[in-house]
Amino acid sequence: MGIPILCQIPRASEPWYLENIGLNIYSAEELGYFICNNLPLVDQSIVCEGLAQWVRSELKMVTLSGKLMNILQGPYTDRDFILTLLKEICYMNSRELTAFDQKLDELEKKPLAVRLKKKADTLMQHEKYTRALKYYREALVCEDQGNTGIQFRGTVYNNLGCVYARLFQMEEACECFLRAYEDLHTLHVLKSYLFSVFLKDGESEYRQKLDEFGVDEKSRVKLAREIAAVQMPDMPENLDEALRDWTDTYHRNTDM
Amino acid sequence: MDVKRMIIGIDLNRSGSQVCCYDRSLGDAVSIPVKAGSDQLTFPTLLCLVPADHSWYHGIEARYFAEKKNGILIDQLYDLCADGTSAWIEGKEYAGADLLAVFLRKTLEAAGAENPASQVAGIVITVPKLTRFFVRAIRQAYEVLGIPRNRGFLQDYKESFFVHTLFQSQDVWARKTGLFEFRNGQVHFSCLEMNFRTKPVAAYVNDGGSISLKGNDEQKDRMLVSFIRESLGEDLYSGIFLMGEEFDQRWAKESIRLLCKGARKVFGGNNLYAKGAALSAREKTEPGHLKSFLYVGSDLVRHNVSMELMVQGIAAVYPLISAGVNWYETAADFEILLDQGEELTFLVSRMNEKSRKKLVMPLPGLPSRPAGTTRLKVHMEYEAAGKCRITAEDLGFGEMFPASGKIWNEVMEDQN
Repeated sequence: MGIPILCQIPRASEPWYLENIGLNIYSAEELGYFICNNLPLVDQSIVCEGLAQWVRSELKMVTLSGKLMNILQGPYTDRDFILTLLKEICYMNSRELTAFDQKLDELEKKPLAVRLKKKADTLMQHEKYTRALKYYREALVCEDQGNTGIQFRGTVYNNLGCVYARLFQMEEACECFLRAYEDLHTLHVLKSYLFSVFLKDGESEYRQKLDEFGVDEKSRVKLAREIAAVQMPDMPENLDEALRDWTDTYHRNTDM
Repeated sequence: MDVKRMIIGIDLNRSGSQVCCYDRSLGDAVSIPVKAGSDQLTFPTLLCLVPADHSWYHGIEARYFAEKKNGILIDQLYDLCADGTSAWIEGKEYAGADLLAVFLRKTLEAAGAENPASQVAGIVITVPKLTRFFVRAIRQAYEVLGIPRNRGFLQDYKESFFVHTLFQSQDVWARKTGLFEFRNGQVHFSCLEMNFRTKPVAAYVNDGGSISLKGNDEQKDRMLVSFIRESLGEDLYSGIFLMGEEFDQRWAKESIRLLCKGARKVFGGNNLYAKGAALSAREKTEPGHLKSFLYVGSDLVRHNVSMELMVQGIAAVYPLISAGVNWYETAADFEILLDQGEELTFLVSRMNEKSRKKLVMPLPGLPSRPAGTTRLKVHMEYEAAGKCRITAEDLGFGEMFPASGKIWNEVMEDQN
């Protein structure tokens, strides 16, 4: 069993707001955890003077705040800032810090388009769909795209399609899945496209597409089974409360 | 601005209380008489509330205002504090601590400390025996008066006896020191002995027997002689204290003769505990005199408690409770992040022993979260010398993993 970590840094009374995912951070340990588990989201919203000042005023870590401010004065990389921060808050032991440094190094060496996609993927995990859309699109138009290949482009389109589907924008979802299929030609992507068509235009259009794409009988049966297995959700007991919850969730997902 | 200078000891007893102040120029504690110019040191542990103007009185004045001015007499102050109960006075509930705060304020005012928060450098209240409720009441009363933990202390009579004795010349405590306390028609014996082979020197106060003194003066003297012989036995005593207003040299002639045998130093008086408290307050605020001594009382915590924790990235055995301190003077508060598992493991070792036992505190129902995302607030507090209550509260992990609000309790008892 792992050894518990002694928390020696006081919790903040005023949180630090993580813009990317709309989350308040109240302790050094939460900040450490967020950085370790959301590396692609570490950007200027974290590597900034504001955080250095928060470290001083709320975490009472005056020396660390000074070090971070010094880093920001001169030529620096995000890595300098993050590693200094993580080392001082002691959320990780030395072995973990070394492994993290390696991960950071690997990410930095990746092409910009890949880094943008990873950022979008992480935002998706946090259900921040509108922000994810932005970074997927940026990944697509990025100059480095020429070095990343069709596979990469197809994956980005697939993920874009997933985002649009989550936002119930089925027209855009269909377009993206179709573009993804053109690059990847996998049954998995085709399935996503066909299901999107089913949701957008209904069963008859779906059947037309099955013919258009020459889907074999065995696959059709499998797809039909999957559609049938989707259960209609139960009507919530308190519809008003449920609507409020769904609205709140939608606003969180879309930064509205 | 008032100077923080006064060092005070208060003997708080059911039947009567006393105040002593440490006099730096004399290098000793001096009793404060109830009235200027009198030699009466003890005042009743009473409070009185006069409803007409909601004014409070204590001690002798309390009795007067209750008898003559329609005041409401509160004569259960001591028991309310010791038992943790409360009283209804004029339609309002007062906890023992509330009343004790009033009593203390009045007592300190009479001693010259109108503003205890700024005028009292150190204060010790001594009582016959400390209970968890008493500790709580005294601490709360100190808080009401603005006296912080590092200036307001408490101890039992035995510890006051120890401190008082150690401030006497060494020939008084070179061997055993005895105390005969006369109260309520009884005499009780206790003995202070020290083990000079240890470092620090360990000091113990052991209870002896008690007898009731009855009959005329001659009979009382004979009974006391017999009791003295029984209590002292064949042991060597360098000093003897006789305490209590019921002792009088005029009837205890043979007893005095016996006690003075063997060049024993014999002292009489009625303010040993109050003086011991004041001297203790002095030691706590300006330590030095008792540095090489350790009072091993029944209130002493005899176990070290620690936990294996990551401290600044390095695995360490982190001390939480250290043995050798009175149970009511030690507590631990800390927060940890659980890595895995649903339990806390404490390491417990007896004083002066290296081997450690593990005490596991299960946390059933702890929400399942990723490693390093469960923050627990842990509080450890003693309820008696060998009984430590551990409370753990789930604080979650900020907005990422909200707190469940679950609280777990475990009692760690000495397995002697």
